[in-house]
Amino acid sequence: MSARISKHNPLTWLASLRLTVVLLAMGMYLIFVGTLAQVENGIWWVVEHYFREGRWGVVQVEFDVFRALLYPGSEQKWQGSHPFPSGFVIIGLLLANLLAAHAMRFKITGKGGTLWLGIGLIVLSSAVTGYTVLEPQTSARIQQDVMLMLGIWAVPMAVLGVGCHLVFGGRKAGIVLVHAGLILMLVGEYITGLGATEGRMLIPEFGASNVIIDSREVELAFVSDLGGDRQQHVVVPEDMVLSAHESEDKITDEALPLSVRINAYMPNSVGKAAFRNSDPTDISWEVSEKPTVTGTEQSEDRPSAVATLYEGDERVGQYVLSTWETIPPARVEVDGRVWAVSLRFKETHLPYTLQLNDFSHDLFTGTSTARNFSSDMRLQAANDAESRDAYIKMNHPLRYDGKAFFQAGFFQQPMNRNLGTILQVADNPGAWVPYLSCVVVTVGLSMHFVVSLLRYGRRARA
Amino acid sequence: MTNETDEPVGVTATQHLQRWLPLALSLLVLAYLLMGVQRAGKPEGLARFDYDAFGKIAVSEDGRVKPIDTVARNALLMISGKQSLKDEMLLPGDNGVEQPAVVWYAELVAGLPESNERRVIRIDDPEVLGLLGKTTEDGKYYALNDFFSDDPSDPDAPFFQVGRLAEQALQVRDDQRTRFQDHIIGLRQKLGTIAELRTMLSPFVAAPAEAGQEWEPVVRSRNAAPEPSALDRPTRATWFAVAQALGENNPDAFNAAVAEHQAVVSAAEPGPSRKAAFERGFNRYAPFAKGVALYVLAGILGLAAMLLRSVLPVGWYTALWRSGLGILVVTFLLHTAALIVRIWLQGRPPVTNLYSSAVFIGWALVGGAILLEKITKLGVASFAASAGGVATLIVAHNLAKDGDTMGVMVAVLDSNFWLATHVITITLGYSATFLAGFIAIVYIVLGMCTPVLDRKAGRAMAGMVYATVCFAIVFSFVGTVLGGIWADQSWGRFWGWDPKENGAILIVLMNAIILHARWGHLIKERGLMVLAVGGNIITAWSWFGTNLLGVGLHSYGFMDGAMYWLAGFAASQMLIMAVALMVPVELWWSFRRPSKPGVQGADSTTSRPDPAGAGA
Repeated sequence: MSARISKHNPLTWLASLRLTVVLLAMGMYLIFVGTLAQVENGIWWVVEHYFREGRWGVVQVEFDVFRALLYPGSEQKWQGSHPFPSGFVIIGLLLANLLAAHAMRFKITGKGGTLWLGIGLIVLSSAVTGYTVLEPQTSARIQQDVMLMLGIWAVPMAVLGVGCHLVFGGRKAGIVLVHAGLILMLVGEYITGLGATEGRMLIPEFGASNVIIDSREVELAFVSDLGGDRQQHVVVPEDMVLSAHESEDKITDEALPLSVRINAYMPNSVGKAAFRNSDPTDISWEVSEKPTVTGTEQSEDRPSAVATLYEGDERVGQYVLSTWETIPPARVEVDGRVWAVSLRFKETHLPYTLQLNDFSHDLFTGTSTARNFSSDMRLQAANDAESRDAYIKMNHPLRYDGKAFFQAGFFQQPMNRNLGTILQVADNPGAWVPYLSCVVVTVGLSMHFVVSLLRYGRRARA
Repeated sequence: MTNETDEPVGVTATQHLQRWLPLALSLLVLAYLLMGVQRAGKPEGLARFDYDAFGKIAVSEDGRVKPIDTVARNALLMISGKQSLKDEMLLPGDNGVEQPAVVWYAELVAGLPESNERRVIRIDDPEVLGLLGKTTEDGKYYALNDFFSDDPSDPDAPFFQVGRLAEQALQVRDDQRTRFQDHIIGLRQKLGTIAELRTMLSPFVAAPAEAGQEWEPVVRSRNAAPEPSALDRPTRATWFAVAQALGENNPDAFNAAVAEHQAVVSAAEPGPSRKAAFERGFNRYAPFAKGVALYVLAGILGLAAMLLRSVLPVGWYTALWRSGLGILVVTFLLHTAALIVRIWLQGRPPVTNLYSSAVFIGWALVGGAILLEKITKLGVASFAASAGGVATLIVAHNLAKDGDTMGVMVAVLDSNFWLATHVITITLGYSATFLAGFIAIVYIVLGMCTPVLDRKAGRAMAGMVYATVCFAIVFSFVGTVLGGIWADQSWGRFWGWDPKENGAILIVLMNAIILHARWGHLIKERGLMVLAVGGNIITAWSWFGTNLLGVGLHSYGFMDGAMYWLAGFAASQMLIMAVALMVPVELWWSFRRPSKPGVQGADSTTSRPDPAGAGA
């Protein structure tokens, strides 16, 4: 079909199905080793190192990942690694391959008025669909209700199908749509990688919280009471903490009441209490490093640091700062204000609070398997008129302020054994993309299927 | 062969036979299956004790109401690897007759001496056998008595040693345990199960007496005392009457007590009781065991049809082919009925765990193959489907050793909507990929090792594989996306790179590779087949491998060896791929050039039945 185009044309090479197959196979390999790597590493580490990033688009595949497959149970770590293009590079090349293929092989078959009508329909349907996802109010509405979303998209998607049929002809229109949908899905994953945030809220029964915790990242926090129930938080983000640890420089900033030198940093740790002078109230804490959690373990990393605090150039003291709740923050008085200094999981503070009135979970008779969890909540909005009761349970999130609050689990307070709820909070600006791309692909596949069936029928009759 | 069609009047007796034989055979199989239904309702075991009624009694175990029969079978399967008492497990009193698992359970509950003498505990590890002072030559099956010495308080009796050693082994991280430690933990679990049954801590037999109550055990345990209400429930008294009658070896009292207990339970929980009684019949009917046997039969007929296509006269070939397909269809109906019964018993869509996924994959594979067979009429799809049906049902049988096959669902999976959409589509994707892979294996073996694969059949098979891969990519893609949507709806994350998700996308990519390579003319028939066999490896990996990564090698029964089975399967598929790639097509038996000119491949097919729609 592309016989007229010179073999030496680089576009021919870029558009070739051979390249498609090679790239797909490379993608398979990367996903496979990325799966194996989760035996020894945390899932987020793998996502960052194998799928999303990589220096200069190159990731290092450690030979050690094959140990779990070939010699399970062996403790000896395998040395060495080989470079491989990162997920982003492979996806980028696949996109280029796809676009080149469409540019070269997919001829526009419509002519004159038909062609322009087709283009018009495509533009119109894309514009309508685009409006539903980009206009904030409509977007929020449809993301709360999948059925409504599909209903709203039904007509523009049908129009889109007709438009493509007019432009590309019956044989190719379906394929064009399938690939367009796939591109949309990859773009969506890119947006998610950049813009999505997720975290958790832990709220004890009868308690309230406005804090979302993201345990994938830590921050160094300076907290001081301002009177009433107001607090001032000044935080140093994780990458600054890590680079300060590496360079051994002090972290100094006008906004910070103190300067900090990070003497030691442990990505995962255990804490131990030591009693000084046999006095049970005089506790000092020791932390020691622990291997980071792997993808198959059901726990999370608990980073700790040892830091020296300075007031100006004057050394205040050395402290153990840890994400373990049991280890209290360092308390330092500066200019008459007490600052609590701690290493904590990254926090986001909401302008509204969620209060847990009642948490319930049922177990299956005679087992410790949960049948369901649910939380009776009170949403206390900044603007009092918006406050309301909310009921969150498995598969039934609360959606508010562009965020979705999902029932994720529960915890038991060590002191009074009261229960508390764990909510997963997700805020993904690209959450609608997979839905739309799914619909586009489905329309494309259906069109292709119907056209193939009709063609098969015609041939069978002939 | 052609003279038959020249006959001007009517049809000959041979033709009658050829026409009616397949139907007769299929009806015969159907009649056998229906008679089995009738037989499953009849009493079994020692005639004087009504173990049939006993097995139907509803109890609650692991959060599900089920018949005692299921409890006894699952426990015995976990402990001995068998679902009934036979061979080594029989006692002289049984007169060599196989006994149902409920007999063993009844002996345990009543504390009869037989329960200590039955050799039901299977031990495979020679080191563990050493604890009992035995070697592998003494056999694999041991009785409770073997775990105690004459002095009941002897702290060094094997029973206590196993407890101590298992306690210690559990402190070791699961991927660092020795084989001995793994087996000791497994043995402790077996002994623990026996202890729970004997002490009546599990299953719960006290049915709720009034609304709002739960099932309770009839005894107090150290850990969880039963609700005081359970102690004065009527079911407690009737249950102990059953146990007492057994202990006194009084069949009349036993039968009366069972009837009375059953009446009380049915009155309290009529719906679950009825289901439990039905489940007991379902267990006895053993549809999947029958299915394996019949799939083997259908497979043999399909194989014969495939191999003898060019040798047999058209009439006989058609009769053979139709017989195979007829039996396959009847077996498929059995498989379907069994699936429907499971859906009804569980109140859930068909796939809820690994066991049911195996059953469903087999079902879909056979269903798809029957459609292909109707179109291509080569016997190939029938044979591939039969092989797939046998393989998946055997896998299912081994998975059943992990416990109840209709266990409860954890909260996040408790959504019939998503189980019915995402799980079903993704499983259909597995089935289709496997079907394409199995047909490809048949192509490779037929082509290399037999002379029967002519061009037309080859093209027809390539058509089948291509069409199946098209279906596979649609199902696996839609299933994967639906899974993402479920995840987005459940915890706000469409894609999380978790091993199971990655496994699903690998299947999509594999099928995409096959299709794009084909569209780009990068592969021909052989390449298509080799890649389709590769699809088997990927699918097996997604199905089991990703689970094994998290599970490690610590679990018992089937999963213990699953990694090795999986590796073996992958190696066998790679071997097939490598051989198919390395041996030049000219050397394949079916594709050797005919030495005499004039006899060309295409012409030699004229006497064969025309596979309608071949190459479509």
